[in-house]
Amino acid sequence: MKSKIIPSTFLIKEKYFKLLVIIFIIALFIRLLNINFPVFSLDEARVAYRGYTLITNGTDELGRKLPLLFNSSTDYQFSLVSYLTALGELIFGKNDFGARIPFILIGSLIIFLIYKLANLFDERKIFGLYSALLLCFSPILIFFSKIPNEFILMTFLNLSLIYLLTKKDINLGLIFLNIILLLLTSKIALFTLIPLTLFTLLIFKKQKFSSKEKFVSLAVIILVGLTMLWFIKIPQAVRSLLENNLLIFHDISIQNAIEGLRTQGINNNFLFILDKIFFNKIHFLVIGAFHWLSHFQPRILFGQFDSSGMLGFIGMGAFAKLAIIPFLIGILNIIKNRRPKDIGILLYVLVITIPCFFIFPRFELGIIALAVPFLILITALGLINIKPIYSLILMIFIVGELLFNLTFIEADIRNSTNTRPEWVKDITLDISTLSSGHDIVISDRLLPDPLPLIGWYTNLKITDLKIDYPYRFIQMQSQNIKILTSESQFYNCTDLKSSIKLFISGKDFDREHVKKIWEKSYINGEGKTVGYLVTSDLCIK
Amino acid sequence: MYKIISFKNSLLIFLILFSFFLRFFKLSEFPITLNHDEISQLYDAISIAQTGKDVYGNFLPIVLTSTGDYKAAYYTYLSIIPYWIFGSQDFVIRVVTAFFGSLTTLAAFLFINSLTKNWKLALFCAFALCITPSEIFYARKSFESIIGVCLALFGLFFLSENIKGKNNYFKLILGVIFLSLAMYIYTAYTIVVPSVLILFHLIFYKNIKEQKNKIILGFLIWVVFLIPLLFLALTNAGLRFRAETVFLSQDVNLGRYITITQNPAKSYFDFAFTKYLNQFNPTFLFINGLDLTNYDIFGLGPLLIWQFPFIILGIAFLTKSRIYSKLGLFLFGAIIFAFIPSAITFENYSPHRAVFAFTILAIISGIGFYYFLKLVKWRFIIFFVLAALILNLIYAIRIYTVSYSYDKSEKLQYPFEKVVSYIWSQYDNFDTIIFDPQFGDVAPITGVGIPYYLGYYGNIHPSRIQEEYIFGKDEQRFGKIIIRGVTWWDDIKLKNTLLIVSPWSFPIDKMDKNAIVERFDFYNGKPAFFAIRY
Repeated sequence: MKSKIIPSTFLIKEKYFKLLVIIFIIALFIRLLNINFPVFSLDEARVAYRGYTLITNGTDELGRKLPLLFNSSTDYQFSLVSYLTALGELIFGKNDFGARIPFILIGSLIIFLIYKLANLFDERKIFGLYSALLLCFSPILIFFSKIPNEFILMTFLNLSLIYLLTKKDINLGLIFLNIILLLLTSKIALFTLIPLTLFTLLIFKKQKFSSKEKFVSLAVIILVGLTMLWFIKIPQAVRSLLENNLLIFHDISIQNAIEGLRTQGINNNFLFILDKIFFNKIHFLVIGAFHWLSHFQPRILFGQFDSSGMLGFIGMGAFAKLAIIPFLIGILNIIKNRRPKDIGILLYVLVITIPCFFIFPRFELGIIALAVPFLILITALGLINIKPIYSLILMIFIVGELLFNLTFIEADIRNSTNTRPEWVKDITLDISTLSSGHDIVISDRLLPDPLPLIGWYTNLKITDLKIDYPYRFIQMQSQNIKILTSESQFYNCTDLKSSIKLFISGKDFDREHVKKIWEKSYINGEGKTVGYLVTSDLCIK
Repeated sequence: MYKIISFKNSLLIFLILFSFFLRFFKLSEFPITLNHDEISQLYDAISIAQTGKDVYGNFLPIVLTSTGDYKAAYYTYLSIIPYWIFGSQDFVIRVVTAFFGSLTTLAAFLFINSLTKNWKLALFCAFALCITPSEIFYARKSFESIIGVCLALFGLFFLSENIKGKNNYFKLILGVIFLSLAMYIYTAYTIVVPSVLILFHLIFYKNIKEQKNKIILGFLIWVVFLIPLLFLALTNAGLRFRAETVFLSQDVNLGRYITITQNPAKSYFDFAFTKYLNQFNPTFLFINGLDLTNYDIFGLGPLLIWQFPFIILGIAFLTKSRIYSKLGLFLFGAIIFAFIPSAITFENYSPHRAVFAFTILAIISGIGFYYFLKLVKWRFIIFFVLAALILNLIYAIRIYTVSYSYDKSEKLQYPFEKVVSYIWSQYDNFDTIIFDPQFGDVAPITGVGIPYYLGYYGNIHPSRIQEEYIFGKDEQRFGKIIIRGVTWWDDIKLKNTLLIVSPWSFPIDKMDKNAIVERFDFYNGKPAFFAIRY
């Protein structure tokens, strides 16, 4: 009896492996389609340019030698994404393809991981296959695979960590490598690594806690602790944590609300003791919990992931709209059957998104991407619990919807014209051409942080600054290129060799000395004029 | 006698009384004032009761012009009954919804009891409904959607009773009448009721398949009842205008979306779908969906936070239970349909159009609470949960009675009652009184429904408003009173004139302080209007 089963199982495995490779190729193809889409945001262009400077000079865009912590417009940025981008550009050159290919590959490789992980939750091979297919066609994972970002990398590393931890005989070397890579990828890992590891080993794996596992648990705590200690010693680290990761304790609106409501109570002679019970800092827990849950609201998952177009396709959620049907069936199945492993999927979604609790009132959509593989498992659970013909029809519609939406790339570019401005390419090219004969001034109302964009889209070299720990740093000058801020002033000067070329926004015409005569205007994706090229004979200080 | 006052009935009666208490206690005081919808409905009800015409002089109208929003007149007609009983009082306009809202508790009990034959479970559902904030809030706010909920639940109860026996024609007809009336009373139910009816018959098909003749008869009666509604919808310009002005197409964001995608069909679908899903946002449902405060984080949702875990438990119970699987299917399906009306309107959130959905969610929370008490035997935990419920209820009352009054008095047009009363008190002292209805707490808005305020608070006979009130495009007039935007540099030159203006239309700070004869504040103490005499 045994001899019959083993070869047939083996054959099925083979068959599915080939199918998996096909899904991987499809995933790769979809992610490679329209390689220049989405247009890089300011921070992504910075990472791409950084990748180039790392491979050419061994320094980042500010001239620092192989740093561990980088700069971004919102926070410190951990290093792995930048070095991975550099690797892509080292192989494929300074272009969009080079900057994106590492993430496209990683985003596609998750398919094998989810298939393997799916087998942990449900032994039916079709479950893994549906999971792989859903991941292949998940709009949000496609989107995140096409840009240099930490979330797709974390998704990959989180899944691989769970896979490694759930193996019967765990490989300490690989696990440590995985943990270190996670710690190098994102600050978010400092909040997720310990719960993820402990949940997997202590609760999900459900077997005797081996000495190796105890060692791993302890090591994770120590490694995270050490990384946190290292980070906290950096200037502005506390500010970075408060402004980006523990915002709930930093946001003034909660304290204002408490005071405002208590004042209302006093003026209305409402029992003060009750107001103290109702409106206090314990409410952080309620707010945090609902904020956390709100990240998984159906609108984000199946409606519109990000209406600004910064992170996601227009008119699409993390999944296709029709995926809501198998998703709900999956949820109902988990509730109905209450299999511990199925409940485990739900708990993983919560464990992996713990940082959402602390970031009220901000929505960190990237963190949802970390949970998407588990949401996919729930959806796949729904698919295998309905008649195969219905599952097939649903899958056809899910794929169809995605492909249909991919034909609206132009709409996506228009939608994200403010967050992913394609029109800046024209401006940077003009800056590059004109900078050889003129001083250039760029208004921060037009482009708040233009130098990394210039560095990426042109061949101009940006001056090194060598700032040790740049937190939300904006470089204001590079050679003959200056940034025009609200404090800048025009004045008559005698030492001007040639006229200055100003790149300004419409609002800058309100400034003194700026004449409303322009040589060229720049139009954004929505067809609105956003920038002007103006010649001036005045100096700027 | 013994049967009537059984333990079960005593509990039910207590619950209904509690429901009446929550909806009727200090009904004239909270909300703190009649808003423009309430005052217009009240005065139109008085007008129709006394003259047979609304303030615009339309005889027995089916659609009221009102404040230009063309309201269906059914609620106004219903309010004539309490007007005849209690006379001209503020709470009269709130009585009908408060009454039906209180009866919803009974309707929910009867419906769930009829479907499950488990009176304890039904009692828990009724209890959950009784304390649900959206049910109480809209019942006290003269919002006709609450009547729709009550009628729909009674209708479903009679249909549920009907499928039990072959000869229950009376219950069938009653069920059809109640459900049809719900469709008349509030437009959202023209979508909800048919969907829920189809769902009901699909789920309980096995129970009714042998009663095809009855179903056909019921359907025919339903169609007959709906013919006038259909006729009105097709022929009444006012109703069509209202439908158009609240439809999704009026959403400004949709316009941008169409421009971006350059594909209207896709845009409409995406937009409506996203709007639909947006209503399942837990923060909206449990934290701030009723928009009662200016603080998003401390507010009141259509459901209590306390109900959140019990909704999850309720879903778990209904999914797991074989006996109640059909009930579960029906409730889940009903939620899906009940959120549709609010998804296809222009507002970001319109909870008033989704009250039936909240009702179903409340019922599920009741089922969850029942399940919880069956599961948990530790008295300490039960005590803790009950204490949490009491605290949450007091919190809800605190937000409703204090914060809602403070933060939303502008929305309720709180100062208008005092302004109009003052105008009438000064009527004989001036040649002209000019009232500029532009006002606002943080931004200017224009108050509406002035003829209704003038008529009601001035004790003016409606026939005078019908005959003497001049509804102009730029200004309205009634006797010496002119309602229009002021041009202060000209208007201060007018002799023996009283100006009622807000800081948004009049530079109060720069004016002679002696000219200010009266100040009218928002509930939070900030100035809303000033009476000025030069």
